[in-house]
Formats: sequence, structure tokens, C-alpha cells
Amino acid sequence: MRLTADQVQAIRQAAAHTFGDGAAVWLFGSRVDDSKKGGDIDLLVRPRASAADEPFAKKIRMLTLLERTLGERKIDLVIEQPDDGRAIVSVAHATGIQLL
Amino acid sequence: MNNTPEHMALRQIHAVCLGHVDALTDALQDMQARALSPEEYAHLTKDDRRLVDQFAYRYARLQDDVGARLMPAVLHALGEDIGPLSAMDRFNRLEQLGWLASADAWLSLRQIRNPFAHEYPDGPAERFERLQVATQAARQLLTVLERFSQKIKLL
Repeated sequence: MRLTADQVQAIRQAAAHTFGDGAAVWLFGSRVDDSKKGGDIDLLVRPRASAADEPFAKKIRMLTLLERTLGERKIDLVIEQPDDGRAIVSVAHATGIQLL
Repeated sequence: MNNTPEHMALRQIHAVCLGHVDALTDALQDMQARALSPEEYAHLTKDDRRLVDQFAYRYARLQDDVGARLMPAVLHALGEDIGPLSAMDRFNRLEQLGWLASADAWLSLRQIRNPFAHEYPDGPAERFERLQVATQAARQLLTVLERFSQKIKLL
């Protein structure tokens, strides 16, 4: 995994602050691969069921917090919904590393 | 207003932004008049798609030019040395100087612009919510500009 301990901590805090207790976070995409360099940070967040409302507003809130702590960088944030059928969600679960 | 090169540059970019304000205000009014339902938004007609695209484009133009051009021009006109400042530092400085009500709120307005270009498809619940959040954000963006315009008049 190509994230520093500080970056992982910033991601955990931003997710907990935005979605409250019980949110789970996975890193997926190129940052999982140690042989690559740079690249976007791809994250999947699965909020607990009772915190799954207003996913877009929360996505913006978490991205704003991350921009404050990690600086300006390209972060793709996928918010998992109950019964989410998107392929990217399955891929993130299958190939990702759980951070929280 | 003074006639220093910095003030003239500010007036010029401010005029460009006011053009974007008019265009975004029109696009916002058209969106409100159309009042798309979630069902209609999920299956956009050709005309409705044009309406949404126009709105997204106008939002992005104003947001981009304010952040990348108007804000630096304001700081220059105020005699600030912005060379060593990151974009984030500039927003914080404008908040300190009373031009921006909240640097964080500005960051969010910028983040709202980005997902139009993001890689992964939104979830179904997110898609319509994005439209609602973006229309609120457009009103906030226009408010930011109003505050800037009032303060620019006093320079």
C-alpha cells in the first residue's frame, strides 16, 4: 500500500468525522500496488445503514476535510449505498485494503 | 478605485466574472423553472441535458475564474505578496481579510465542481442529490461574488 501512516490517519479521521461511528473505508486502485508510482487516491466508504442518507453532501464534506489535511490532490471517493450494485463497489471490496 | 496596474487588472477580471454571474443566474433560473423530478433527471431528454450541462458549465466557469484569477487579483491589489502562497493559503488569507466568509465553504464549492469530472459513476441516490446540492452551491457562489463586488467598489 502506498500511503503514509499520516495519510491513513487523516483518511480515518475524515471518514469518522463525516459518517460517524461504524463507517468502513477501503483503499483500492493503483495505490494498493507497491510497484506503481503516484496516482489518484481511490477510496470506498461504507457508512452504517443509518448514516447512508445524503451521500453526496457527505462526500463533499469528507473531500473538503481531506483537502485540508492532505492538500490538493486527486481523490476519488465512492460512497457505498445499501444494496449497491455498481461494479466499482465489488471491485473495491475484492481488491482493496481496509483502512477503517 | 486607484489606477495602479494591479487595480486595473482586478477591474478587468472582475468584469469577466460579472459576465459569468449573469450567465449562471440565467442557468439557475432555467433549472428552477424546469424543476426536474428524480425520474426525469434519471432519463434526461435532449433539451433537459442541455439545460443541466449549461448549468454545470456556468458553475464551473465562475468557480474557476473566481478562484484562479479574481482571488489572486484581489490579493495583488491589496498589496499582498502571494508568490509563496498555495491556493489554500490564499483562501485562508482572504478569510482573515474578511473577503471570504469561510475558506472551508469555498473549498466545498470547489469540491462540488469536481465530481462532474470524477471517474466513477454516482450511486442512484447520489445522482439527484448532487443536482440539489449543486443548485444550493450555485446560490452560495453568487453570494461570494456579491461580497467581493461590494468590497471591490470600496478599493
